[in-house]
Amino acid sequence: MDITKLTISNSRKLLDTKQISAVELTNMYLDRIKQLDDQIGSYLSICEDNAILQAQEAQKLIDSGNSSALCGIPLSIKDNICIEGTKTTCASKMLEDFTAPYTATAVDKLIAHNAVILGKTNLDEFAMGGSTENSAFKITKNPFDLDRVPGGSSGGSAASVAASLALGSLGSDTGGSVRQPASFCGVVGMKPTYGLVSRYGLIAFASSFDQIGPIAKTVEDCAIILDSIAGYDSKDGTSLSYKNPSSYSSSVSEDIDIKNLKIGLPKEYLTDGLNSEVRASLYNSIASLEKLGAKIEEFSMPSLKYAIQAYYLMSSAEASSNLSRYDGVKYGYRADKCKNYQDLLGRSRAEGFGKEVKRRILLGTYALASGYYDAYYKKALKLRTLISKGFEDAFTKYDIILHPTAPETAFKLGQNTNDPLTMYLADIYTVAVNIAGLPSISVPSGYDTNGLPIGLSFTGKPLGEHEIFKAAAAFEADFKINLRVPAI
Amino acid sequence: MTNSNNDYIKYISSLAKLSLDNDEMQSLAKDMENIIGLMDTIKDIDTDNIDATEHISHMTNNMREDIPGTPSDCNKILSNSKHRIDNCFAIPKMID
Repeated sequence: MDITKLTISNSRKLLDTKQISAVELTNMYLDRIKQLDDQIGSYLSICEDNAILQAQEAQKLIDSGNSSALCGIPLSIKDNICIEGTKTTCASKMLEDFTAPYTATAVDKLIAHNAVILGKTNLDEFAMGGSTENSAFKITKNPFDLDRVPGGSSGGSAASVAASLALGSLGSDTGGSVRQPASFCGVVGMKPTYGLVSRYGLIAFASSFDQIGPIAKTVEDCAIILDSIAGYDSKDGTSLSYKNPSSYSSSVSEDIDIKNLKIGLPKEYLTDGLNSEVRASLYNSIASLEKLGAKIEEFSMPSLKYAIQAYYLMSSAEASSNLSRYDGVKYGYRADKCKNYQDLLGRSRAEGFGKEVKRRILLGTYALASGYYDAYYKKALKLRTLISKGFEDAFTKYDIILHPTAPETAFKLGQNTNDPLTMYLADIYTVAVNIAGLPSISVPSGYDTNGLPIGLSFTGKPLGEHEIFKAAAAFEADFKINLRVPAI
Repeated sequence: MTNSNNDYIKYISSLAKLSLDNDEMQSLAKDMENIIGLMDTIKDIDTDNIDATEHISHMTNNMREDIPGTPSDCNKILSNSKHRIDNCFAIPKMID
């Protein structure tokens, strides 16, 4: 059995027809992780014993004919999502010894659906970054080229799926942290509507932006994971009371017709900063969608030009507030031999956080400081209104907004580590979606001349997951880019 | 903010409760100068008649029923702290 060819949906058939048992499938993944993850560095910790127990339980259900879509399916979880009794480090020295006292609702739901949790994946510290080079513990490498980054901050999750070290994964997306690494690693990454998936148990970076989302090999697999994690949660005050009329996976498993689907392409995303090969891939993708009957039109949304600034000001302000809880007292890193409480607080934070986290805390504190609040933070909140209104207007004309996921393909390790501005600008096409709380999915749309994956994003209206899944699945089925398996 | 004058970064880092050493202060001041330079490009946009969006979901007071429950186990809460005395978190003295 070729593990690199497995998806969640075809593994379901293998499990239900008893061609493989849940324990055998889980052991295949655990063995592959032991064999290959030293090269990739996608995992921070492995939950081997629990995974086997979960697989045994899943097999009992399969044997009794009571399996469901994720029963016995091995998944990985980004290490900023809590699982009771396991280390949850956020890839930070600050939380190196932190054991989660409870389980995140999204993971609880996966476990309730009898998925198998293989382990926790690497990320940029506290999900801040676009390359997974900001982890305090290890650098994750792109399975397509071990000299390049996997993207970030869910780089460990995306790499684990691309390298067939898990069948799917949960990441978190604050400004593109599910979609950009999915694009760099040639897999599918989905950011749901803000509030559709509970944030309870997701360690906060920027609360009004953070959203848990699935990463998998196919659009259908992403929809299967979203089916199990979406839904209202009374433990999350921002959770939406939304009753989904039908399952997301059902919308991609039927015959999909996207004739007359109206798609808008923002001109602001077609500037000189867009890599020529990514641009060529975008126009190939447009031709495919037009062949399927979709109507595609360029339009202008001027407020998008300020999305990066608005995003970094607001998210950093929220981060500076959220990360104030790390004081070295209740949990997390504590500096040695402190003279007094102020010394403990200042030194624990300075020694426990990495440089990128400190940059964001400083930027956020600056934006919120007296005398600067109106010029930076409040201005950014007003730009949020403009950007949200821009999308609202666009959706009166279009069903879906199409755009490249990232302006370029995976860059070399170390290339941008000393250049935070270049790193920030790499998020230029993804952050606006988080500002407006919209759903968006990135699907593979080709490879550059170096064989590196390129991603294409479909962004929908609030709670428009069904529409973007349908469009992405139709594209995936028609475009047939012959998905490549990384040669590791 | 200028690179030659680190007074402001000292002030901001004190507000942020980050006791940075001199080298780190210099390095972060340079980064901040570039980052704030990018942020300054929004200063001249006219947003006088635009309302601020505090939160995208426009929710207010999403309340759940007030039902008494079992509090978390004290030992579990304290288990992630490096220093504890009985059922309390231990810290160095607050006042000299």
